[in-house]
Amino acid sequence: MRLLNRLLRRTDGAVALEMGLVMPMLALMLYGIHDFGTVYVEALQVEHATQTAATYAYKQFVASGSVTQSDIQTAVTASEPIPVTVAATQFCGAVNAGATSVTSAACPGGGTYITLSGSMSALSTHHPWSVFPTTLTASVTVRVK
Amino acid sequence: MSKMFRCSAGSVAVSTALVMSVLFGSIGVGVEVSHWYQLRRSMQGAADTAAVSAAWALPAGGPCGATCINQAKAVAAMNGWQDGVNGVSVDVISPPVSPSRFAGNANAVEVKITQQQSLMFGRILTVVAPNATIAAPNVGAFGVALIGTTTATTSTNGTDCVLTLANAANAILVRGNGDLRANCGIAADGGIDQNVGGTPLGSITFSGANSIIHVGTAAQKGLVVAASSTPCPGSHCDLFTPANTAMTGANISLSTATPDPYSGLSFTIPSGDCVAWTGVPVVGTVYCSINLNGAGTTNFPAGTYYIRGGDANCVGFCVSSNQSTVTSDTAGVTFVLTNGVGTGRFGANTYARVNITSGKITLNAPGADAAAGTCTGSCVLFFQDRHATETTSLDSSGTPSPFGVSAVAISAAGSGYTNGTRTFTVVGGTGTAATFTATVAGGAVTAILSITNPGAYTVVPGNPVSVTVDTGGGTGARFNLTTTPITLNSFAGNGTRTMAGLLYFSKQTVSLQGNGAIRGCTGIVSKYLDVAGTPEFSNGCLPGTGIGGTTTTTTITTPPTLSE
Repeated sequence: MRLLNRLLRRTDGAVALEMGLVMPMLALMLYGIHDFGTVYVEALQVEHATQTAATYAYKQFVASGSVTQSDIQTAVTASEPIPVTVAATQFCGAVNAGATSVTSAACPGGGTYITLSGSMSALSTHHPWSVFPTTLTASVTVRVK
Repeated sequence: MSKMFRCSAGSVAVSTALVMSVLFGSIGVGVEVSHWYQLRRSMQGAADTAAVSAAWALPAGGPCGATCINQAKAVAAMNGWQDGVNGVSVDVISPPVSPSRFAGNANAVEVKITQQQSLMFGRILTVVAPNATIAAPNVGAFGVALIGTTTATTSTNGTDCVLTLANAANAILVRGNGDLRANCGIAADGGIDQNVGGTPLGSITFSGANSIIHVGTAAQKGLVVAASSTPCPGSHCDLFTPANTAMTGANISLSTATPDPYSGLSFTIPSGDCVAWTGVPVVGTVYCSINLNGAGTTNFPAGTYYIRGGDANCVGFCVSSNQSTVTSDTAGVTFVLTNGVGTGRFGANTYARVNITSGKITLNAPGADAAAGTCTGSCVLFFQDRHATETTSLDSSGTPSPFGVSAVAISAAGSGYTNGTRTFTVVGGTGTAATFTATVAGGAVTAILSITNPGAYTVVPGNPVSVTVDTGGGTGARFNLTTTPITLNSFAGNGTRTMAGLLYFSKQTVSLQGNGAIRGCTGIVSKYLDVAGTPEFSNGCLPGTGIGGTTTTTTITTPPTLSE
């Protein structure tokens, strides 16, 4: 009993103990910050890659009158540091009444558009309980004709 | 109280609180600013694609209308930036105003996306420093796209080979036994004159029971006139082929003036005075006249010959002997007729003309191939300066007005004039007054020196004419004037004139008389055309697209490019 009292009065190692208590919280926070940052950067990269794909698709379409999905993918893979998959959809469209969107229309009355959809699995080290998305996507539409 | 100040317990908590607030504040600001940069990056991509998309709807030279603006806004919306939503503003501006290499270019369009941001973490700072001015920025980006333009020209060759430019019913006058034979179209629809307004009168007039024209083919609308009332179809109007077939209404068309296709054609005339004709042509020489009035053959080497004003023997280009044979190298020649130099008889007011009254003439313009009926060069045979004195009217005998003084004789010497060389101005008549110089001795006019200005009279003053003098007094001097039409170019008399190329007399009258007035793969542009002979024209050897052709230039826009 006296020993217990003495131990309770001792302050040695208090900091270590506090450290032990705070550390998990801190680690979790740091992990969260890192994960958020990584996902954020990757999201930007996906968006940038999709815009690059749009620029390439536009120029290629103007130059040769057509562009293939594989050409776009090759261009994006060659120029971007991350493995983004780009899907391209070509459609004839017309501006809707409120100028808020381009809707499908008969060819060749309207313009020709290409929508580029970029996607990539997040590279950050997720845990199942992570709130961040596991697949990052971006979409860009441009008129090519 | 003093015990409390000495107590150090909880100091870490206080330090941590202070440090943490600064730390979180810094992280907050960092995250927020990063977010704005990321937004701007996204806007940039959207603005670029919106600009390129809008440019597809931008017409060459602008403006960016509703279609163009809506195109930009729709694409911006599809890419995440919808105008008017969440404080987003999408502005479409053409020509662009933001600094780029396409700023101010009407063929470019700028799309500017902006969004007013609000503070999230930055609000912490407003708590820490309530007096500081902390505001969220208006984040924006702009993209500029340019459309290229190219022009395409399509030409259709004309089918006419006679064009008169006078807005007059007798722009073409066919007299006596005259037969204007044209295996091509004839346009008498007023040309330049008609374009300046007034009632369209350009047409053809027949004078003489046997006068006739033969025009084009049955398939062509061979005769182009401005006047709704025209003598064709009628007994004077036949087709060239099939022979002896009367024209029908289908062969006639009304026009609001066939433009002079050669109104931009010009030649640079060497400066300096002219030299007298020696009988041996030298390419590039500026002659006072080319006067072929003797026997023998004169061949003109290929090239351009200039004739200034004419001289006492010839009004410009003259052939007057039926013994004369005139030819040119196959490569072709051009005769440029312009005004004289200086203030003498054949000075700045006198323009060289053509006066052919006889001879056998075969001339070819550069590039004109009579056999093939094609033109591969300049194809101009005669070109009269467009500043030449203009024919104002043509009378029923084919004589064009105005008249100029060609000779002066003393009728009464007068008295009291100042001795020396005096300049006299003719009094009377209607039009520009003629002036001449004469020698005065003993107060009386003793000799005529030169005609300094032949004048241009629509009504010639009656002989003897009175005059005014430049210096001093004097009375009683009277003169007899000889006047001639000064805008008449004649291809007349017996002989043959086979020509290939363009004969351009846009301000004056061309008179075609005699059996061989002109024939060949040739065309005439003149103000009036007087036909009393049997000229025969065919098409193909005229410069450019010929007469009555069309050239259409269209602007084509090419796909937009993005300002880098």
